Amino acid sequence: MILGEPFIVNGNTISGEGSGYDSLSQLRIEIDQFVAQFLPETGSTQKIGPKVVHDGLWGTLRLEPYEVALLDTPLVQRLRHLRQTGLSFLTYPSTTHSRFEHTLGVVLQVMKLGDALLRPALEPKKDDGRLTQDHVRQMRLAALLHDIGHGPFSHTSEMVYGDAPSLKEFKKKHPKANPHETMANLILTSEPFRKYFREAMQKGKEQNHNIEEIANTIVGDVNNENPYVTELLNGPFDADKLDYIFRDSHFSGLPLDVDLDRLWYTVRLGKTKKEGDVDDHLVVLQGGVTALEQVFFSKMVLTATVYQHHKVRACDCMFAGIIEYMREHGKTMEIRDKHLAFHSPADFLWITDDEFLSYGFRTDDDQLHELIHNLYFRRLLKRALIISCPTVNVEEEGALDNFNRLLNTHEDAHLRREISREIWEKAGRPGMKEQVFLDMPKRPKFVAADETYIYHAEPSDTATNKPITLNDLIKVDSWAKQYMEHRYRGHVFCPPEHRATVAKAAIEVLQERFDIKFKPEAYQWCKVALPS
Amino acid sequence: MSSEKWNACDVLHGILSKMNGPKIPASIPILHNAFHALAQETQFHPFFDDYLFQKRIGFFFSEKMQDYLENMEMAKLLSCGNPAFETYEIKDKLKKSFDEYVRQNFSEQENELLGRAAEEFANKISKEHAA
Repeated sequence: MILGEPFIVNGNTISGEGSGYDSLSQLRIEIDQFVAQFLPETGSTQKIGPKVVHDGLWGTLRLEPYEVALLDTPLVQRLRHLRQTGLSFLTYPSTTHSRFEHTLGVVLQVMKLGDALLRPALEPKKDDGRLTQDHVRQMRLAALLHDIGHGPFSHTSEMVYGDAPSLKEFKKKHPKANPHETMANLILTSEPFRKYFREAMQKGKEQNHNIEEIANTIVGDVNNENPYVTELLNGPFDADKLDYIFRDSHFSGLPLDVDLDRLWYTVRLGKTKKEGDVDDHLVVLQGGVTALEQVFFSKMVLTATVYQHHKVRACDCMFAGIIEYMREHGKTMEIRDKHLAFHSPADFLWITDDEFLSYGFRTDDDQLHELIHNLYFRRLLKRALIISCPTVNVEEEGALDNFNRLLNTHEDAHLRREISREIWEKAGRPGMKEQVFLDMPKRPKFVAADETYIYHAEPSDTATNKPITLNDLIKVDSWAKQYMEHRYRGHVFCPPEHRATVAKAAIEVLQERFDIKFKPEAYQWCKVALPS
Repeated sequence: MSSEKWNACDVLHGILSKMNGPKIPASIPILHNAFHALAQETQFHPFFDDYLFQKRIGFFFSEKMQDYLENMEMAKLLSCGNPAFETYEIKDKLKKSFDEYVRQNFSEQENELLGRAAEEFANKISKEHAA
C-alpha cells in the first residue's frame, strides 16, 4: 500500500464515503469534533483582558481582549508546539521557532501595513477612508487564525495529507487554497468555532467581524468590494510573507534583509493598469522597488537554501515514511484518547511535533520505533542520486520528452512511491521500503511580480501616472525561475550504508522508465562510487 | 471525450507542438489569460478538467500550467533566453517528442481538436498581447 491509495486498517478499508480522506463533508464532521475539544467552555471569556506580548524579532505587540480570547484557546496555543519550518532544525539547529511566534509576527505586520496606509501624511491629497481601522482589525484576526490548520512539522505533514481527495474537492471552489489553509477554513467555519467566535467578539466594543470573510481571506478568496483588505494578509507582498522571510532567515542564521521601513513608507492604495479596473489594490511607489526586489530575492534564497536543502528534504521523506508504515501496517498513535491512523487530514490536527517524535519511546512496534528514532536522534537518510539539469544528459538522442515526465512526477505522490518501491526491489530490498524515496520537490512560483503595481507618483495624481508591474520594470519572475532551475535538485534518498546499491538500482529504474541517462556527477556529487 | 491515456501535461504539450510559430510570449499574464480563455470554450472542456485557474490581480493563473512550462524549459523542450526573457522558443524537440511519445495517447479526433485548440490559443495570445 502506497501513500495516496485507500488505506486498510485492522482489516477495514478506510476510504470512500465515510472518511475525511475522501469526503469533504466527513472531513467537516471530523474537524467539528476536533474543534469542540480544543475550545474552552462557553462563558470562559468573561475575565479576559488585554495582553502585551514581546516578540524577539519585532518587539512589543498589544492584543485586545477579543483577540486574547482567541489567542488563549488551546486551538491557537497548540501552535506553540508546531515548528515553523518543520524538521529543518535537524539541519539548521536554531530553526526551532514556532508557528505561534510567526502568528504573532503576522498580526504585527498586518498592523504595520495598516498603519502605513492609514497615515494621512503619506497621501495628503486623498484620504477618503477606503481602508478603515475596522478592516485592519478584521485582518489582525485573520492573521491570528491563519495558521491554525497546520499539523505536526507544518509543511512537512502538509506534503503527506495534502493529496487527500477531500481537500482537492475544496480546492475546486477555492483554487488558491493550500491544504493547511483549507484546514484553517474548515476549523473557522465549524459550528463550535462560530459559536465561540461570537462570544469572543463580545469582548470588544463594536467588534462585529465576519468569520466567513476571515475564513475566505485565509484561503485566498478576494473580497471584490475591497480587495486591498484581503491583500494585507494574502497578496503579492503580504504580512505573512514579510514575517516568515525575516523570521526564517533570522533563525536559520542566513542573514537576509528587506528594507521594510521603505516598503511601508511607499505602500499605497491604487488601481492597476487594466482597462476598466475600478478596484483598489496595494501598490508601491517607485521608491519601494528595491525593498520589493529584496522580498522576492529572500524568498528565492530561503527556498533553495533552507526549505529545499537536501537534508531537510530527507527529513520530510522520513516523516512521510513513518506515516506510510503506519498506514500499511494498521498502526495508530494513541494521543488524548484518540487512535490516530493518519488517513484523514483531520488526524494530523490532534498531534504536535514533540508528541509525534516522543511516540518512538512509547510504541512496542520495533520498526515504527526505529523509523521515529532515526528522526529523533538524527540518523538521516542520505542522497544516493541527484536529479538535476547538470546531472541528467538531456541532450542525448532519445532523452527527448523523458526528463520532462520525470520532473512532472512532483505532482504524483503515488507514482513517486511506486518508482521508489521498484528501486528498493531492484537494489535487493535494503533496509525498510519506507526508507527509499524518490523526491522531486515542487518549485515555488514568483507570480507576485506580475501583480505588484508600481506608481511613479502618488496614485491620486492621475494626470501623469501610468502604473506598471514590477515585472515590467525588471523580470523578477524570469530570473527567479532561472535561479530555481539552476538550484533545483531531485533526489533518491536511502539509508547511508546502502547508497551504492540504491544509486545503481535508481539509475537502472529511471533509465528503464524514462529512458534517461545520468552523468557520473549524479552519484559522484553524493560521494557514492557505483558497485562494479 | 476524456481519456485515461493522456494527462493535463499532454494537452499543453500537444497544443504547443501544434502551434505554427516557434515563439510565444513568456509573460505569465498573457499566456495564462489566453489559456484560461481557451478553457472556457465548450468544445475544449474535456482537455481542461484537471486545470484550476486562480484569479490573481489582473489575470488568471494556473499553477499546473506554470509547473509544466517550467519543467518543459528544464527539459530543454522550451527555451526562454537571457537577457530579455520575453519569449518562449518552442524547440523542434518538443514537437518531435510529442509525435514520438505523446500523440499516440490521443485519438485522431482528439488530435484534430488539439490542432484547433492550438490555433485558437495563438489567436487568444495575440488578443492578450494587444490588450
